[in-house]
Amino acid sequence: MGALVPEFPHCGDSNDKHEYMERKGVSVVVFEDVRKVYDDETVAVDGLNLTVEHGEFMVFIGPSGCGKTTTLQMINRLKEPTSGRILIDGKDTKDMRNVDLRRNMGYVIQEIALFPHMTVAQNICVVPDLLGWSKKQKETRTRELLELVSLDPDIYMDRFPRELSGGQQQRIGVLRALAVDPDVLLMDEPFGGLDPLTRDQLHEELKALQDKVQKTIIFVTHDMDEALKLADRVTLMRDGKLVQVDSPEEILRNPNDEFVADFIGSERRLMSPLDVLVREVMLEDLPTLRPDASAMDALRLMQEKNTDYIAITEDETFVGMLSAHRLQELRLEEDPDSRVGDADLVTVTVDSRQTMMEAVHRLAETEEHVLAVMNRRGKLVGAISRGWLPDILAKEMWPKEAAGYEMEES
Amino acid sequence: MFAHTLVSALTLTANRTFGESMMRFFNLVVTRQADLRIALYEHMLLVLIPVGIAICIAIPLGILATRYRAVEIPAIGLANVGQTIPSLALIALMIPLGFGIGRRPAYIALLIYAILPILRNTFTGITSVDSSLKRAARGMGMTDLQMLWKVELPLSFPVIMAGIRTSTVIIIGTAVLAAYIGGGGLGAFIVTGLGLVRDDLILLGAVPSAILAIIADFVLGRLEEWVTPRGLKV
Repeated sequence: MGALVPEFPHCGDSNDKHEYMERKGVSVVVFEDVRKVYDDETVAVDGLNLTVEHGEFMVFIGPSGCGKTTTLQMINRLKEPTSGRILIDGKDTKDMRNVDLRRNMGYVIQEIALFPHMTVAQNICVVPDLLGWSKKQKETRTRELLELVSLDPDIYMDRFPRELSGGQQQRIGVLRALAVDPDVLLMDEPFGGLDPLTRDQLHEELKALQDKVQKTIIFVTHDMDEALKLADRVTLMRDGKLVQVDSPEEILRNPNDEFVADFIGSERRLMSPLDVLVREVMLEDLPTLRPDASAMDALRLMQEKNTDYIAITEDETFVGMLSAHRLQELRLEEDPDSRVGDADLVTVTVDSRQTMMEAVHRLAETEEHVLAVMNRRGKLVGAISRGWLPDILAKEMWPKEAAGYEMEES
Repeated sequence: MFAHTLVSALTLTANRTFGESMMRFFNLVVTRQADLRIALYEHMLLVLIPVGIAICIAIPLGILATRYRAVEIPAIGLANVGQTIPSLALIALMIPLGFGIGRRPAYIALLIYAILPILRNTFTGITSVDSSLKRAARGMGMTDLQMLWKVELPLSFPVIMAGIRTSTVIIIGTAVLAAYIGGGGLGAFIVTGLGLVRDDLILLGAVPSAILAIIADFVLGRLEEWVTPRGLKV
């Protein structure tokens, strides 16, 4: 992210500079009981409570008139909430000056709305201009941003919007929103007006961009494909209310109600079971033993819990996985006193945020029968076992039938 | 009386050949060169002063009308009603309204007439700027004034210029009528010509004012093109 921020980007009044220095991290957006009633008494948003996390890609989705765009426009106060509060990094947006709030927030809209009388460079630098950056800073920043989306600055800087394709125009639209490196990016159906091919391309670019710049992105769409592809979390709205807020995987697998299921429609069947995240399907509440437990105890525990693996931990630290397969190698009949710690424990792990595709690959690659699943802090949270794979896949592919023969978890 | 002179003038003109009239007209241009020059100068003042003042009034008023409904309704309403009053009637009205005769009432009448196209074009020019552009501008943190200067005015400039052009061309023609209330200008030749039933005098007023209108239209058309932002030109 550092590379994206030119040195001393604000050379306007000292207030601006101070404010810029203060907001280093990424932002968190909190809705507290937000309600919006229009003059004609239509309730657009009805008691919204939601927290968008730091650096999260949050997609608002729902049928037209569900209040998603109103919600977005209340964040930068193009619309004012009738009641309730919206906090950004703990500060009530009502207490900020409108223009300050908006200049610190990227805004991309479906109509693209590049200013036709300004060149690409001038368009990108609208907000830097408002903040009084110098000519040199603006040029450096423009070049940097154009290179970010692989548009040659020397070719494109001085072009006018009408000389660009729709896809190029919206790339510039996104760059314009990123110009002063804001923490929050608001995107109102930004790719709605583009053809499917260009849209796909821009999705990829936006994801790559998000990996690089880590903004808190709030994205409105009515396209479920788009939501599933881009979102960390999806917020489904209907009639101004939240229906479900979950990860794309969770929404696909466990739609809250008929409405959500309908809205997801056929897309859900198109999702491969191997695209599921490990943490969504892993076996939790593992039977656990200390390394000095006897092998006989381990055998009994396996039979009792009807499982073929045991996690071996010592003082909360993961030591390894003992599979039934490895337990046999201890030859219990000959040496009944052996300890589980003597066995050849499996130490292959997989990150809980990886997909099943990667987990299966890992299993095949290492020829192990079980994988330990670690969370991002390196703590043991579950396991993926070869024995359970068919069940997992079946449950993912035919969720309704699978409910009938729920896996016998320990 | 006016209708009577007009009829007799037309009859008279019809009895002569056009070539004859033109010859007499060209003679007159040479012999009354000094008078023509003065009349032309007066006529240009009759155009430049009202149009100049109209620009200063109509553009700010048009901008205010886009901001405040309280300004919009009377301003645009008056502009539309004003345009429907026949120009000769408006000029004649100056006398009963107490402005008397001479240049001053002529300027006032022409000013009222000049304001209308500029006001209307300023208003429509600004209101027809794409609403998504305005939303983007506001969403990026422009103040109302910044939005006006950076987005709305540059984009509506060609339309405003077209209003100024229309206004100027109309006033060049209408200024001829100023002679009826003693406003001077090229119209004086026409009024005298009609009174004396001399078609060469009529032409001495009519031809230069027509040429003036054509030149103004051309020059302002060029200017309009020149002020159109590059990004908007196809």
